[in-house]
Amino acid sequence: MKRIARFFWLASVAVLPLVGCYDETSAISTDVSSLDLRMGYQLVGTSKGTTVKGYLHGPGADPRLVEGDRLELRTPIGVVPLAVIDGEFSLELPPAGGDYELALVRAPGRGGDLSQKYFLAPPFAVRAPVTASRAAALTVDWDPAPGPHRTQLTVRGPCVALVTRDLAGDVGSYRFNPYELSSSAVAPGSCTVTIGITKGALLAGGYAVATQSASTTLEMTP
Amino acid sequence: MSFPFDLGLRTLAPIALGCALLGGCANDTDALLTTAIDPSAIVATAGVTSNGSAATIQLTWFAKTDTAHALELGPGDRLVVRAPDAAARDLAHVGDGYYALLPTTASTVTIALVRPAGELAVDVPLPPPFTVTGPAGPVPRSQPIAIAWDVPAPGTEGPVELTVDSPCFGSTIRRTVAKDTGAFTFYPGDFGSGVASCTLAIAVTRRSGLTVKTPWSMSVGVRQVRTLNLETTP
Repeated sequence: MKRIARFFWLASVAVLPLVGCYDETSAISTDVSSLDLRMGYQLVGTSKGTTVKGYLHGPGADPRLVEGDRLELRTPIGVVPLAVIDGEFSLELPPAGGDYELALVRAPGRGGDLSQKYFLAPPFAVRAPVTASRAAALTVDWDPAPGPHRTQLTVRGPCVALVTRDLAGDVGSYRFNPYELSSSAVAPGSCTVTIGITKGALLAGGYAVATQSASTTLEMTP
Repeated sequence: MSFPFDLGLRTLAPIALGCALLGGCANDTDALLTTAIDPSAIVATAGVTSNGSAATIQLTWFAKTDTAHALELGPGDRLVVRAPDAAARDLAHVGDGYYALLPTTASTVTIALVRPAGELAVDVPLPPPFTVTGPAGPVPRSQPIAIAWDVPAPGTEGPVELTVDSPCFGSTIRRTVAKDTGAFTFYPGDFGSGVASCTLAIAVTRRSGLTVKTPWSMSVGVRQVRTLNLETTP
């Protein structure tokens, strides 16, 4: 028992100074190297607006930006200063496509600025007929746009086969063959179907970081 | 030294016991011969695929008595496949399965266990044969590519699967139509862009299935496949 007690005493003496290295109450950006900061953000755009959510984390507590350090989002419609609360930020912007850049700007002369740039496809609309039959071809149209984004088409509804189709580019139109949306595994009657197009920039691993989406509905009949 | 040994034994013993129990489900060491069991104990799974000029047949089986046993052909027994236009061929035993390639254009193949006392045969009807046609290549992938095949007889319009393989794409493109209309059109959004000319291997598959209980239990997946090679440009 004495040996055990002695071990814990020695261990606590050795660890306490290390714990002191991280003082959560004094996490200010000027104490943290840019190399130790992690930041990221996600853009979710629709024709109604663009939602931005992101984070700025330090090695210990999330740092407060002080003494000229600032975080800003450079958007196609201007530069927006970001308020970081508990290491996170979010805001709503008017709809706009183009280049977005999250930038950590350090105080003049300090160096170590960081930035992340994503392309957000411009807002668009999806068009489809008001009604369609599964036994007939169905054409879906949308506004195409140039850019590096990937385009995904989805069709969802209780009376159609779930379709998720990665298209070979933002081609602006797609046509389903007769019976391509049929399946013996779905309800046989009519239903409301949602057709969505998502244009997105993906990180390695398929995580979407900047998506512009639009959808429409139609009444699907047998 | 004895403690780690004891620990290893205690840890490994239940695992070894579990493995032994699981291994007993289909153990080659106590495989049964076809001559030693009633045919009703045979449970087989087979696949028959025709490309219009030949059919491949693959079959696996086991014996279901009080438990499942691996099954092997007994002395004098043969496992064969034949068609109205093709003489019987023995299925070759490779690994855990039996395989054969039968040159035939027939619409039915027969899988049979031939024994000295007679044969136990199962007729396997194939989906309706067809021929696929497409545009004369090279065709641009930036335009719709329509292919067609023989329309099935009314009432036999089953599902059709289409696949497209090409060095242009990283993965196989798969499409399914629930009802066979004898036609399908690919659209520019289906294909990758930015690649030079390449050949698309478009396979059209009609599927059907068959399950029989006599003279032995067998489930057969049957496919009629045709492949069209199409030269394309971006």
